[in-house]
Amino acid sequence: MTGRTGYLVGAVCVAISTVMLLPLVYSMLASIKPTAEAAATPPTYLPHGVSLDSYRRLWDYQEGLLTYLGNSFGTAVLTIVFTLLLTVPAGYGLSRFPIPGREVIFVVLLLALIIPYQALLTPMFLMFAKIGLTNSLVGLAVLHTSIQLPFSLYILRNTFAAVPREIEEAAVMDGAGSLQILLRVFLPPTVPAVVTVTLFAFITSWNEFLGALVMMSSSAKFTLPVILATARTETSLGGTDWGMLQAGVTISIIPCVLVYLLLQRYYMAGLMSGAVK
Amino acid sequence: MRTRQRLSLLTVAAMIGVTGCSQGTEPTESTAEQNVAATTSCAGKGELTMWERSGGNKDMVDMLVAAWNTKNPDCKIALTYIPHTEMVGKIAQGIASGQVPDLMGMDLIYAPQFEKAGQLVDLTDRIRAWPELATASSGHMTVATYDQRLYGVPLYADVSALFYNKDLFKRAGLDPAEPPTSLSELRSYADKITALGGDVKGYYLPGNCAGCNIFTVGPLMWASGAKIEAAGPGDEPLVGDGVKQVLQFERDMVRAGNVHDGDRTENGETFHLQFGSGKVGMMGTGNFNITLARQQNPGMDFGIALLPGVAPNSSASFIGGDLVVVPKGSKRVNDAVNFMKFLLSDDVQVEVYAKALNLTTRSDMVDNKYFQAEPLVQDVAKALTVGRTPYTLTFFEQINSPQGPWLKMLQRAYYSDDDLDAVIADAKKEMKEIAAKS
Repeated sequence: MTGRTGYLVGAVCVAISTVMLLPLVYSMLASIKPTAEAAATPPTYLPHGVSLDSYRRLWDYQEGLLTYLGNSFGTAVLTIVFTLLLTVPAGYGLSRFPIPGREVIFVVLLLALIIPYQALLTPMFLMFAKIGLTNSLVGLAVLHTSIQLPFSLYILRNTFAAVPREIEEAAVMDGAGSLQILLRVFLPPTVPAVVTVTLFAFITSWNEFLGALVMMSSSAKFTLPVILATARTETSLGGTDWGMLQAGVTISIIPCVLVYLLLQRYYMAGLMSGAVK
Repeated sequence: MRTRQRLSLLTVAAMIGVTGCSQGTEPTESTAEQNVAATTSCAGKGELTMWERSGGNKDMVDMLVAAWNTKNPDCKIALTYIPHTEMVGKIAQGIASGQVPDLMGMDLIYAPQFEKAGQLVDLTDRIRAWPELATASSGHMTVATYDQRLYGVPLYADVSALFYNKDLFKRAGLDPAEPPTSLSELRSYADKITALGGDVKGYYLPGNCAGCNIFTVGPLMWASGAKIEAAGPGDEPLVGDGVKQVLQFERDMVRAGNVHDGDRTENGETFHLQFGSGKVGMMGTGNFNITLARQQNPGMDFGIALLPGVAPNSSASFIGGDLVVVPKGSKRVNDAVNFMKFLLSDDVQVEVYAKALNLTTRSDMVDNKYFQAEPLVQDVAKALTVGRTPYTLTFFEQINSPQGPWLKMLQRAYYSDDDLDAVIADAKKEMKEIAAKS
């Protein structure tokens, strides 16, 4: 790449980044505006004053911000655990064991991708109500897991299938059982794919709104997206506390950005390994 | 093979473990418990659960629940706010699955739909003998009644009125003690205030908010003798000359430059903040705006009058707010009824509603020490006497929907040159079609 081309590519990258980052920056700036300024029409682009009032209101909002952060985080962690517990063995089995009709089984499992989960919410809610899984973080994590399963299975099954068969055969010759082969032979080289699945499960669960709204019926169990929707229509006749809403948006972005930045290296490798089988 | 089975079992065990963490269900209220006389205290023990929509009068509801919880420490209400756009679906789903709260607050306008669908507990035999109901807000009690059965009592009341900025009145040479009493006065006062220039306008018109308009423009039509919604199949909506007169009045206001250009996009999200900005001479808004405007603009002097009609001294108001009702499947109906009794008690009416400068939900409680010290609340309380609440099973579809005929009609009237008779005829046709399906 010549110097001039490099500058051009750099300028395009900066322009795209600016477009992508501007809403986030604007949201963050709105969250530190004084209350009256945050609600002003027409809005100001840069804060004329700095205030943490919006964060204070959010901190004390209903059950308190920590409750909602805890619920969101707990649900996301459970979703990751359930997803990995189900899809690692399933991906391993579907890629390596001579199960009759395994391709058909795999395709059937992937079919869930084409059905919007919103369409399944009501029957799932009624089913969960019968077995007492509504208004429970565990139940919500199960729902989020079901949303995440097809994509995770697709990534892991294809990644496991790409592991050279010779390595597996060598392990068998050394007397390793199936579980040992999975844990010691298959998982180490497929860590990027597992991380990818983890990352997607986290972000899906962290951001999911409708399922959480439907499944949860008490304020103490709400997750961050639900409470932000509640806060959006905080005042009479549907008025919005813009400052508090933007404070919530800013806080809800932080974990996603952190997790992404920490796992970015694995994530890129994992996505590619699953995609090119 | 054994390991593979172990893995499968692990997966199944995980799901069973998940199920094992679930909650059980409680028994429902026995028939014998249903005839207990209501009191203002809790009869049972244990937490009561209550849902309320967000976007209502949250401060008021919080205070009412706090007052109950102080009086009933062994029977506190756990209050959950549901995003108001999702409330109707959430309730319907909860009732279908039996996962309902013990009681709930509900936007009064949607109550008839739930009553008709049999999704609320019929409270007639428990509450009809209460003397407090004789003076309970008539608008609330109208929509709390279906087929002569009672399903709830008022939780709080919002009424619309004309707020006017006395500072701007003085600057424009108008008498702040003489607010407009007819649409023609409203127009001429608005012209004078707009003439002050700068970013001050004489009037405010929420251009993209169906709910704001039925709350504030609807009463102008009622005060002018018109009828708006179709109550049911076969009923004629948009009847009376007042409809066209008010639409023409609003169109003229817009054309005269008496409203800010930005008002056209107002979808309700900043409606409540407009009057407190100090840049609007007069606007229809609700009693909730008294406290809010003072917080926003402590130095602003303002007054409250009734929303006028075409004829001098005609007036009307929209009575809105919430009802407290009991969803089918509630396990604590008696205690929910006790909470209703508590809400209507003299003490709560004065020491909670009035003390917080919110409207009392009983008209005989308006004359109290807190309102006497606050003339603005007295002024806005007068709206209760001329107020009404529309009664239709299709309020959302006819009126409140952003895609509904009400808002479409208003927007064409305000911002286009379409013939007003055609505009009204189109809306009328659509409203009748909606009502015919109810």
